[in-house]
This record gives sequence, C-alpha cells and structure tokens, in this order.
Amino acid sequence: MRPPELRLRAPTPGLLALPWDLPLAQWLMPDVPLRDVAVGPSRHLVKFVDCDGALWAVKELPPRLAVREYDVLRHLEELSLNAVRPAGVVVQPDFGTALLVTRYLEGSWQYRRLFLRLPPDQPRQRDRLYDAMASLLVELHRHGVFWGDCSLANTLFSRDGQVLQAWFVDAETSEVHPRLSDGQRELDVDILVENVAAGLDDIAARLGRSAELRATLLTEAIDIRRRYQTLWEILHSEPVFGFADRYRVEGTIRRLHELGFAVDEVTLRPSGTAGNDLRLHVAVGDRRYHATHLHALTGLDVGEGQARILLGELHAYQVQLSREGGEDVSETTAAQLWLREIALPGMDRAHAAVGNTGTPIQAYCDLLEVRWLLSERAGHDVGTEKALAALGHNVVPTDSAAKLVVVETPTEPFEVVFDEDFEDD
Amino acid sequence: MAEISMRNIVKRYGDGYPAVNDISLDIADGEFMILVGPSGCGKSTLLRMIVGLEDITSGEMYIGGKLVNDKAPRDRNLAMVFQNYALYPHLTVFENIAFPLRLSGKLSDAEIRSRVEDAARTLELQEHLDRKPANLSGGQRQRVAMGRAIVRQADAFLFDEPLSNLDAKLRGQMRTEILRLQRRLGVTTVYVTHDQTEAMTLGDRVAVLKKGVLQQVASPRELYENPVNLFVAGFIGSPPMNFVPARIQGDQLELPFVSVPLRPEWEHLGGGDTVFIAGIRPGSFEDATLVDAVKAGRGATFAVDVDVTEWMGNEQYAFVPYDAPADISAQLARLANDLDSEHLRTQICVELDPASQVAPGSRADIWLDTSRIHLFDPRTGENLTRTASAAATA
Repeated sequence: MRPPELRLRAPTPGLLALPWDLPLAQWLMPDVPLRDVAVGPSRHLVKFVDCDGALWAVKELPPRLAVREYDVLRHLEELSLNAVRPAGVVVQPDFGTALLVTRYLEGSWQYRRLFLRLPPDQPRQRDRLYDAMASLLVELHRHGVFWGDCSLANTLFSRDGQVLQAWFVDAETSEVHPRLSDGQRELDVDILVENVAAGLDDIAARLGRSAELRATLLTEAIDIRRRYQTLWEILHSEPVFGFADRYRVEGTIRRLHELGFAVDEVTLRPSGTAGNDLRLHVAVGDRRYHATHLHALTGLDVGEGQARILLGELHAYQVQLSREGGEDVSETTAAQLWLREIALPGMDRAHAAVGNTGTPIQAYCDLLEVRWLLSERAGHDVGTEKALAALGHNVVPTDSAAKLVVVETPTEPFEVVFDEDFEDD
Repeated sequence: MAEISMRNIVKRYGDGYPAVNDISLDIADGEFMILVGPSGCGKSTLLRMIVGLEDITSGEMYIGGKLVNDKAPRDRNLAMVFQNYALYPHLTVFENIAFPLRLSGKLSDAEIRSRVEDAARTLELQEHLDRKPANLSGGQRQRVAMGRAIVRQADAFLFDEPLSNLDAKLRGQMRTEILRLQRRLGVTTVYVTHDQTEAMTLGDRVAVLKKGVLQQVASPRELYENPVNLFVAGFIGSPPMNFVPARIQGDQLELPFVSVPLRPEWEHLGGGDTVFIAGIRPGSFEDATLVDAVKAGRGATFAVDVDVTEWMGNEQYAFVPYDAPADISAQLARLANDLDSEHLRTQICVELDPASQVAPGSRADIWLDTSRIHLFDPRTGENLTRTASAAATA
C-alpha cells in the first residue's frame, strides 16, 4: 500500500486526522465529521468536513487536475482575488485519485438562496448579483485569469454593504496567463452569459414562474455582457487630453475611486497625434480604495462596499463635530471618536437587532441604509431607534440591501443547511 | 465552405520565444485534421489562433476564404467542442442542446426543434431527449455536449485534447463517437492531441509539430511508412521505431546485429566512414522459423540473443540488445530527449507472431524485411531513403 502524499497549508490536528488513505466515497459519519451542505451537483464527488473550527470542502479529482487547481487557487490568493482559499491537496496513489481541500467561505451562500428566501421577482436584488459577477470576472481578467466555466453554481456570494461580492469557487477549467487576449475575455464572457442564463432559467422554472419572467431573466443574463464591458472600458480607457486640460485627469481618478479602485500610477505620454495632446494611462490597483482608507483611520477590516458606507457616516460625523466645536476637526480625530462613540456601540445593537445573523459590520451597514431610506420617505431623520426596530422585524424596503439579511446563514454557521423547497431529482 | 488556410503563422510571446514558428497549413473543407506533437510543440497555440483566443503575431489565417486575424471568436462561426461541457442538470437533454440556440434569440421554436432533433438523430440520442443528465451514462453525456456544438451549424469543429481527462474505456468510446460524427456530418475538424495513437486512428491527415515547427503533414499511413525525419519516425508508431547505427561498407549495409546486401535505392548514399541511423519498425522483423523460403530470400536472416519477451495476446515483442559506438549513443540520447521518451536503450524491439516460440534468454533466428529499412542522416535527421523512394513513386 502506497501512503497518500499530503500537502496541507495549515496542518491542524483535525485535518491531519482525516482518513486520507480511504477513497472519499468511504468517508462516513460518525467517523468523519461531515456536514451536509446543499451546493448543487458537481462534476466530482465533494464532501464537507467540519473540524478545527472551520468548514472544509474536499473534492475528489484526477491528481493532475487537483494539483493544477490547487496551484491556480494559490495564485489567486497571492493576487488577493475573490476566491476560495486552497487548504491542501492529497494524492492517493493507490486509487489514482487526489483530494483537493478548500476552505468554505464563511458567511457566503449560493445564488439560489436569493431566490428562495425572497419574494419572487426582485430585479433590484438580481441587479446586485449581476454586478457582483461582472465585477468578479473583470477582476480575474485584469489579472490574467481565464475562468472557462463561470456560472452561478460556481460562485459564492457574500454581502458587502449595499452590494454583493462574488467569490470564485471552481478553478478546474481556469488558466493563468500574463495577459488575456480580447478573444479569451470574450469567450469567458460568452460562457458566463450562457451559464448564468441557464441557472436563472432553472430557478424560474422551479418556482413555477411565468414565461414572461423567464424571458426577462434571459435578457438580464445577456445584459451582464454590457455590465462587464462598461466596467472594463472604464478601467482601460486611455483618454487623450490637451496638456492645458490635464486637470481632467483628476476627474478620471475620482471616478475610479468612487467605484472603489485604487490608482497605482498615472502616466501621461504624448499621444502621437498633432499638437501637444497627451494620452492618459492609469495603472488601476485593487478594488479596496475605501476599505484601505477606513482601515488606516480606524483599524477596521471590512469589505469595500461596507467601507464606502461607513466612511460616509464617518465624514458626516466629522462635519457634525466641526460644527458643534466651532472649528475643523481632522479626519483622524473624527475617526477615533466615531469608532468609539458611534460605530462600535452601533454595531453591537444592530447585530443584536437581527438576531446576531451575519456580521456586526454588515448589520450596522444595514441599519444605516434602513435609517437613510426611512428618513428619505419621511422627509426627516427618523433616528436610530426607529431604524433598529424596522431592521429587527425585517420591515425594510424590498429593494434595499438590508432585505438580504434573510439569505445569510443562521446563527450556528455549521448547522445542517437545507435549501427548503429545493430537492434534486 | 469551410476550408481553413494558414499562411506563415507566427506566435511570439513577450520574450520573443516563437511558440509557433512560421507554419503554413491548408485544411480542406470536410477534412479531419489532427495536430499532434509532444507538449510545448505549439499545437494548442495554433488551435487557439484558429479560434481567436490567441492573437496572431504575423501571418494570415483564412476561414472559408476570408481573412479572420482580427475577428472575435464569436464571429468566426467555429465550435469548440467540449469547451463548456458542463451540462445543465435541471434541463432535459433536449433543452440542454437547445439552450444556446434559445439564448441567441435568432431562431424560432420550430427551427430550434428541427435542429435539435437532427442532432439527436446523428448522435443517437433520440430516446434520451426527455431525460436529465444525471440519468445518463458518461458517454451519453459527452454526446449531449457534442450536440450543443452540432446545432450551432458551425463551419468547423475544434477539439483541444478532449479525451485527456476521461478514463481509458470512455476515451476509446468517445474516440469512436467523434470519428463517426465527423464522417456523418462531413464538417471540417481540427483536433489537437499529444497521443499519437489517437492521431493515427482519427485523422484524414496528421500534422506533426515539434517546437513550433511543422515537421510533416500527411495521411497516417504516409507518416508511418515514409516519415520525413527522425523525429516523425520516432514519434509515430507504437512501439516506436528502432534506431541503430548503420554503415555502408562496399556492397553491404552493416547493422550491429547483421549485415545486409546493399539495395539499389541506397547506392547513392555513399559509403566509407559515414555512419547513418537506420530506422526499423518492430513489425519489419519476424521469427525466421515462421517465414517460408521464398520470402526469406527477399530479406535477411540472422541469429541473436533474446533478452526479454512480452507476450500481449495478439502480438508479442522480443528485446534484443546490441553494442553501439559512443557517438551514436549520444545522438540517440538527444533524439530520445526530443521525443519526450525515455532514454533509448541500445536494444531493438522485435515484433513476433503470437505463435512464435522464441524464448527469453535464448538464441533465436530473426528475419528482417530489408526493404523497410529507413536510413537517416545523423546530423540533420533527414530521411535519406524517403527522398529516394518518394522520387521513385512520384
């Protein structure tokens, strides 16, 4: 008997003790701490193991593919891209197979939840989903990663302020290149559109939805291409200015920041055309502009979408303090006060109001959103208490991001998770 | 009309390395063309340039007579079969195949139905149209994936090592399916593989690539019987061709294990100190005791020490060691490297009739069909006897 070859990132006791010398099909309860996680069918056998305080996905693959996928996931991790993190790969020479271990993303969920836990036909919520997918693909492509099988089923979603983040799960068909050609990007988008359309079509059929909705969903899936292209062009446009108009560069940078992109470097070079026109090239960095800024000010480690909302509140508080004090308060000072007086207590209360679902940060962002929406409707500031109450009872506008608290995992994240109303044939 | 024509295609990456180095190739409408070679030979890169996934550094790519260098993959009307082989689990076979057509929005329900049913007939999936993928066998699922490509009515099908991830049994099944499909539809097909057996069984013509350069493009038989150089000779055929040093001395060709009379077609090669590499396929030998006298006279018979034998049921191999001079050993080692194969040991592989009683560790009489000896130039690798015989048959 040839022993299995283990390659583990963090050789924690629970992981080490797993029966790596057995084929995955023979991993059974109660010997192995398995969890039932409804993630839909997969090309390969996948099981979920709960140990060492985390949930791990174990997938059985031919060794060549497993090692390849492991390397791709590691590469994505190095680039800080939205992807599941590889935890290890174990080759089983006796069976000619390998087991790829990835860490299950806490707080993430599959797209079906969005449709099963919300009232049907929520275009604004679907919007968030599409934006998240288009964003993810743009980020992968910017870093030379070709997905090859982008689909809703291959993606996990998580809440980030008012937007959703999409996370890349299955790297089996992926390729890493120094740069992607236009042809490769196009093909990847084509695959995304087709797969997303099929995923939505499936949901619509299962929910017994009308032909009209199905047609709408198809159109929306096709429209993801436009979202991708718009974002791609913003990130890669190289506008030409006259030297005298170079102040316009600032506008371009600001727009990128608003979208959350940091700017690493800007070059202005002669455009080659007549006169003294310059071509702008922007080296766009990671999409964590606000998150980085908030972290520097407060030490809080949050998502980009969350950071944008929190920074907004922080700045409003800064203005308030300056007005009350009769003199300018620096951003740094305001940040410290805001954190201690407003944010941390607020997070606790908001989290409690939603029954400790999700994270305190997200609950607080939801609170802020609800307060803002209710205030807008009422024509005046409704205050925190009213917003907390609305949040606690999930009596929130259906288009709000706060509505999505219903899709988040229950209090104990590793409870057996059933997608009710959703049984495979 | 979907002939594919490549003129002086070059693909150079940032560091200047030419992954594809000046390849010109014409694929006729309806032809099944295989691109084969060891890893790194450029076959996948070439395919990707046909599809539009890689930019072409220089050269022209024509599909159906139109220049397509700058055309997006979507606009080239080609189908990459198995590219996206995830079947949608909740759709029936029918809907799985129909889905891309529905998405395009360009066809009526009736047209979609007609195309899907045609494809199902071609793939013998008619009885399964109402089933879901989970209830299909591996082979059936692969055929559904092919169905998606067929209904698009593309000008050509492209395959990039589609069988490499399948288990051996399914691989064999799918190979037959692909061939049958291509014959029925008559669609231009370009198929990339590193497996020379696959190449030989599937293609109308096979293009052998090495390090970005096209070595030879010909029918499988032509490649097997008239390889243009050492690389092609050693790459095509399993078990591989034997390579041994050979010298012309007077009216004899000296091989390590036997000397044979000089054949007329070798006379122009000169003699003296020139060492050639003789290439002899295992099938060119036979157990001399099973060869009748008339046939024996047309070749050469000699005695050897047999090291080991392998009996495979339908064929049998004997391995016969010999001595080689140092310079030839070095040349053979380099050749082994090029072919991505293990070090070529100084032994010959002899294919014997399964009924042969030749035993390992014994002395045996072997017959050699001398008309099937190839002689290669050790420096250039060129097949010197091919040139002569090709001229003879031209």
